Amino acid sequence: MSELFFDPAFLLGELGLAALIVVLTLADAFRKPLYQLFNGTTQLSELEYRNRQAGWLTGIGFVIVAALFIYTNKLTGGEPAILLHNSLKAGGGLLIGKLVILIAGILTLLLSIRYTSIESIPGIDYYLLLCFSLLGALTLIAAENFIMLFLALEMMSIPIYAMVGLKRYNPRSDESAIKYLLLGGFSSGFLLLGISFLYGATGSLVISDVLTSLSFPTIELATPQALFGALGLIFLFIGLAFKVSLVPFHAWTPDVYEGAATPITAFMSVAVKLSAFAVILKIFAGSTSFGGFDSILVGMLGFFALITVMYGNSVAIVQTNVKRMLAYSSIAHAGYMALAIAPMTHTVDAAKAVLFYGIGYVAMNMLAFGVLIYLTRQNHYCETLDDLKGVARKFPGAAAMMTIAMFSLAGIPPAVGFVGKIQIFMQLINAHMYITAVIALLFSFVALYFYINVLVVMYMKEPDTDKTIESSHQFPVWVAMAASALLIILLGILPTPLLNWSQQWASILF
Amino acid sequence: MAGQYLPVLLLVIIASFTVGLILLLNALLGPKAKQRNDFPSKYTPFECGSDMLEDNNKRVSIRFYLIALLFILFDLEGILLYPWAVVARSIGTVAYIEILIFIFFLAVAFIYAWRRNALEWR
Amino acid sequence: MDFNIFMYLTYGVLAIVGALGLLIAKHPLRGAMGLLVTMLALAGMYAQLHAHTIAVFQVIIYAGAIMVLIIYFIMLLDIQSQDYIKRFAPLFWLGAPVVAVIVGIFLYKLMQILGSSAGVMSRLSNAPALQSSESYGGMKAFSTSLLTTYTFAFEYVSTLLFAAIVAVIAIVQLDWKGQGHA
Repeated sequence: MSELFFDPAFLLGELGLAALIVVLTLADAFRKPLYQLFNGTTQLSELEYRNRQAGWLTGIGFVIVAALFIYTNKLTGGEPAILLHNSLKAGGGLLIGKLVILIAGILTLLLSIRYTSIESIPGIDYYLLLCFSLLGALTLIAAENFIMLFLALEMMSIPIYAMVGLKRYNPRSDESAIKYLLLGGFSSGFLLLGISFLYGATGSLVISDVLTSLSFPTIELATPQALFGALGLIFLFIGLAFKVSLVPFHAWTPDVYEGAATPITAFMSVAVKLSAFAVILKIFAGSTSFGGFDSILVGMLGFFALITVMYGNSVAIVQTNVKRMLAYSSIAHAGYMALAIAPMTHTVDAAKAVLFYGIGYVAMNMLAFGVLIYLTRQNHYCETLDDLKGVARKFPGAAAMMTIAMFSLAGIPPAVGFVGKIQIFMQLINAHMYITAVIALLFSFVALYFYINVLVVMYMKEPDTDKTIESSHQFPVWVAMAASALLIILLGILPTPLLNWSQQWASILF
Repeated sequence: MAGQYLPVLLLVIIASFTVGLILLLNALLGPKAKQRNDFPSKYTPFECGSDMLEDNNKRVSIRFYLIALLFILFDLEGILLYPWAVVARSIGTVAYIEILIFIFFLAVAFIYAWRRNALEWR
Repeated sequence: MDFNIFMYLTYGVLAIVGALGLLIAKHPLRGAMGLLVTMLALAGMYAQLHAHTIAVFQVIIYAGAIMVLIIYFIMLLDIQSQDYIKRFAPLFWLGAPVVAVIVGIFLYKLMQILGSSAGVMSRLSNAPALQSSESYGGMKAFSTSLLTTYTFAFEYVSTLLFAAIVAVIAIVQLDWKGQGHA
C-alpha cells in the first residue's frame, strides 16, 4: 500500500460531496433568479420551490458522487493508498463501503421527498444535513488516525442530532432530539477518553501504530501501558457501542427511532450503524491481536452481544408501535453483528460476515421503513400495528414489500438476511462457541413471532377505518422500495457477488 | 519556561490583593449588621445606587439562543486562524491555500446564515 | 517535591473540586462557576505539561466563549423552577456506588502496578511530559504540525463547523411557518 501526501484522484467522491454542499447552499441562498426562471411553468409557492430545488440538486449530486466513486476505482486501479500524513485511507475495497453508504443516502433521499412535504420539514436544511452526515460516514470508515476518527464521527452525528428534531412541532421529536444529543455527547466523551488513554499508553494517534504498539503480554495487565491501553480500548468500545446501540448503551434507541422522522430513522439505523461497525471492526477485529487482552475482550464482546440479542428480540415482542418494534429489532441485529466478532479470531472472515450482514441490513431496513413511509398520509402517521390492519387488502403492493422485508429481517430464505445469519453463526461455530450460537439461534426463532405478527395483522385483520393515501409523489418511494426488495431477493439467491464485495471491504480493514 | 507565566501570576496576585483589600476595608469600616433586616440593602447585588427594578432570576428571550450559538461557532473558526497567522510565512504557499479553503467554507456558512435570515433580529 | 509536580497536583485537585461543585451546587450559576474553576485548572495542567497553546486555547475558548454560552443558556432557563433544585434522580444512589466501585478497582490496580506512593512520585517526576523541551507545545510547534501533519483535520474542522451552523439554524427553522401534525 502506497503512502501519498495528496492525490485528488483518490478523494473525488468526497470532494464531489463537499462541492454538492456548497452548490446546495449557494443555490438556495441566491434562489430568486432560479425561482423566476422555473416558476413560469410550475406555479409553485416559493417554499415548495425551495424544497423541490434542494431535492433535485441533492439527487443529481448523489448520482454524480456515485459515478465519481466508480471513476475513482478506474483511475486508481483499485489500489488502496494512505493519504495526507496518515489521515485517510482511500481507494481499493473501501470504495465498496463508500458506495453502500452512498446508496443508503440515495434511498433515504427517495424516501424523504414526499415525507418532508407532508411534515413541512424545511427541505434545504434536511438535504444539507443529510449530505453532511454522509460526508461524515464516508470519512469515518476511511479514518486512519484517531483525530480524523473523532472528527468524522462528530460530522456524522451532529447533523443527525438536528435531523431527529426537525419535526419541530411534534413534542416527541423534540424529546428524542434532546435525548439523542445528550447521550450522543456523553458517548463522544467516552470515545475521547478512550483515545486519550490510548495516546497516553502508546504515544501515537495513528490507529495502526497504536494497535501494533499496544502490547498485553499477559492477561494480568501488569504495566501502566497495558492498563491504560486496555481501559482506552474499553472506553473506545463504549463510545462506539452507543452509536450501534449494543445493550447496556441502547437506552436512547427506541425513543429516538420513534420520535425522528421515519426516513431519518431509516438512515440512522443503517448508515450510522454500518459505519460505526466498520470502525469497530478496524480497531477490535483487525489483524493485530491483543495478546492477553483478547480473552477479556471475548468475554466482554460475547456478553454484550448475547444480551443485546436476547434483550432486543424479547422486548420487541410486546411493542405495538411498528417503529419501536423495528428499533428493538435493530438493537437485536446489532447484537448479531457483534456476535460475529465476539470470538476475536482477527480473521478477514469475521469482518466479512459483519459487513455482509450490515450491507444486507441496509436493504431490509430501508424496505421496512419505506413501507411505513409509503403508508404515511397527511395528518396521520402509520406507526402502530392498528394502523397496519388490513393493509394487504387496500395496498397489496406495499404489503408484499413488507413481507419481503420481514422475511429478510427474520432470516427466512431466500432473503439476504438468511445468508447473513448463516455467516454469523458460522463464525461462532468455527470458534467452538456452541452455547452462544444456540442461544442466539433460539432468540432468532423468538424474533420470528413479532416479524410474522406484522404480516398477520396486515393480511388477516379487517381494516377498521377507511384508509386512503394520496397517490401523488409516491413514485420515488416506489423506486426505493423496489430497489431494496430486488436487492434482498437477488442477493439472497445469489450471494456470491456481495460476499466478494464484503471480502474486499473487509480486507482493507486489515 | 515557567517564567513566561509570571505576568499571569502577577495579575492573579494583584487581583486577589485588590479584592481582598476592598473586602477587608468594608469589614473594618462599614457598619456592623446584627441581623438581616438591619441593612436590607446589604443583600442586594449593589449596595448603593438605585434600587433594583426587578428580580434578575427570570428568563431571557429565546431569541438570544441563535445569536449565542452562531457567535460561538464563528468564534471557533476565528480562533483557528491564530495558529495559521503564526506560521503562515514559514510554511509558505501551502499554508495560504489551506487557509483559503478554510475561509471559503466559513464564507459559505456565513452566506447560509445570512440568507436564512439568521442574523436578523426578530 | 518538585515545584512542577506540586503545581500539577494542585491543579488536578482544583479541577476535581470544581467538578464536584458543579455537581453539588443548587443554583445553576454556582454550578457554572464550579465548571469555570475546572476549566481554568485544566488550563493550568496543560501549561504544566508544556502544552502552552492548548492552555491558551483552553482559556480563550472554554473559560471565555463556552462559559459565556453556558451562562447565556442558564439565563434562557427558568431557574426558579423546582426541576433545577432537585439534584439527583433516585437512580443516582444506585449508579453512584457502581461507578465508585469501578473507579476504586481501577485506582487500586493502578497503585498496585505503580508500587507505593513514593514510587508514584518518582515516576511522576520522570514523566516525559513534565520534562519536555522548550519548543514542544509552543505556538510555533503546534501551528506547524496543525498546518502540515494535520492539514486534512484542519480543513475538515471548517466543514464540521459549517455542519454545526446548519444544524443550529435548522433546529430554529427561521423562515418556515410549517405546522406539522403532532
